[in-house]
Amino acid sequence: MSPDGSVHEAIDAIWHANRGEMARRIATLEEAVCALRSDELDDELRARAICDAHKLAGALGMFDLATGSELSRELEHSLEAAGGPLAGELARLAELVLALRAEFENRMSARQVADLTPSPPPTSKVMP
Amino acid sequence: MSSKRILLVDDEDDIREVASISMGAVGGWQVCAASSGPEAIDKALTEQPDAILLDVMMPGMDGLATFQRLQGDPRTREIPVILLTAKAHPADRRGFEELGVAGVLSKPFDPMALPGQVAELLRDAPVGAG
Amino acid sequence: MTHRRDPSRSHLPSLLIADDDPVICSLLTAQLSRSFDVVASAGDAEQAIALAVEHRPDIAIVDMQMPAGGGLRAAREMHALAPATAIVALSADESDGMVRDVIQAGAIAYVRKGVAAHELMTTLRRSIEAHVLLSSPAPGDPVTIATAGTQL
Repeated sequence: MSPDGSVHEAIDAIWHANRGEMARRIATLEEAVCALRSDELDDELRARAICDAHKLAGALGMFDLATGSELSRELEHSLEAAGGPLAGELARLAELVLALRAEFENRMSARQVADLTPSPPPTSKVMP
Repeated sequence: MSSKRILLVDDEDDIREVASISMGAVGGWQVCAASSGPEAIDKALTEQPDAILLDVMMPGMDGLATFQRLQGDPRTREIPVILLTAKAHPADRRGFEELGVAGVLSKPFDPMALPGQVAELLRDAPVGAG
Repeated sequence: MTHRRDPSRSHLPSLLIADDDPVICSLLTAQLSRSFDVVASAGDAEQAIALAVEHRPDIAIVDMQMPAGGGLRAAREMHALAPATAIVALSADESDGMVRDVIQAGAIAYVRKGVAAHELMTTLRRSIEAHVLLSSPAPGDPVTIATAGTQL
């Protein structure tokens, strides 16, 4: 394997080890958007969501999820806005969170597919 | 392999681990790491790294407070410090640079590009930046 | 966040920083801590008001875009409840309307976000001097503060 290949494999292993925490952070953002929908987004949940969005923004791009970082940053800014996000922004926030979840799940699926893909058959055969 | 040593400081495990692989396996640096400001100060004193990559937002003693402590100690003052931040508005960057850091890098970083960016900042840093 | 006042720094003017961006709070603390004793930092208007009443700092830097009512409310209430504290408004908005609003709220100066550290320090020092003059029992002529990046 090329040196780059081993680096990517090592980074992949870190992704694998930390994906649970990233999933938890995305779940916090989903919870915040749901709470906003029922006008129950309190300061504590909003603060947690801002913190988790910030951490996702700073990390996802390291794992080839640059779009995930951008989506997280947008969520962070919307949640931080003075007075908090308005009910009118709900649709936009929901879109952002759904897109973020999709990015995450796609990354997960790609790795699971790689894990499950069987080794290619041997290309040589014994000549009669 | 480079004999240069870098101290990586970030409270987030995944960022610290990826940066270690990046600076070590890609950049050829010897790497040591810390997960908090106080630990960073201890390691800077004992390891005497050639550079420090320091996250700004950490609980407790944040990156800037850590930087000021490093600056305040003659044993660590000359170690160039590069800040790492997910919030890097142009106005903030100037403020960071005025404090005397060697540079500011944004999160998320590209693990394959990070060593080159660090090398460039250290090459351009004025003598004693840190 | 509150810091217990260090007696060895009591000769420095005491400063309260109010900004909902923790990076800005951190940066301002780092920039100003040699010349000022940063006694507290606040992340929203409510906290800023409470800390101003508790610490009675010589000066407060207040971000005009904070949540929970924003910097204008913080400035207004701090001016009323802690009148000895000089208030400097911090904002990215340089419109005439914003400047007028912050002065009416009780701020003595206005600083643009991202202004160089030495300009910020000059503004803060001059603001303390001006506030003392304006607050004295027999005020003289109005004092004008005008430095780069700031307006009265």
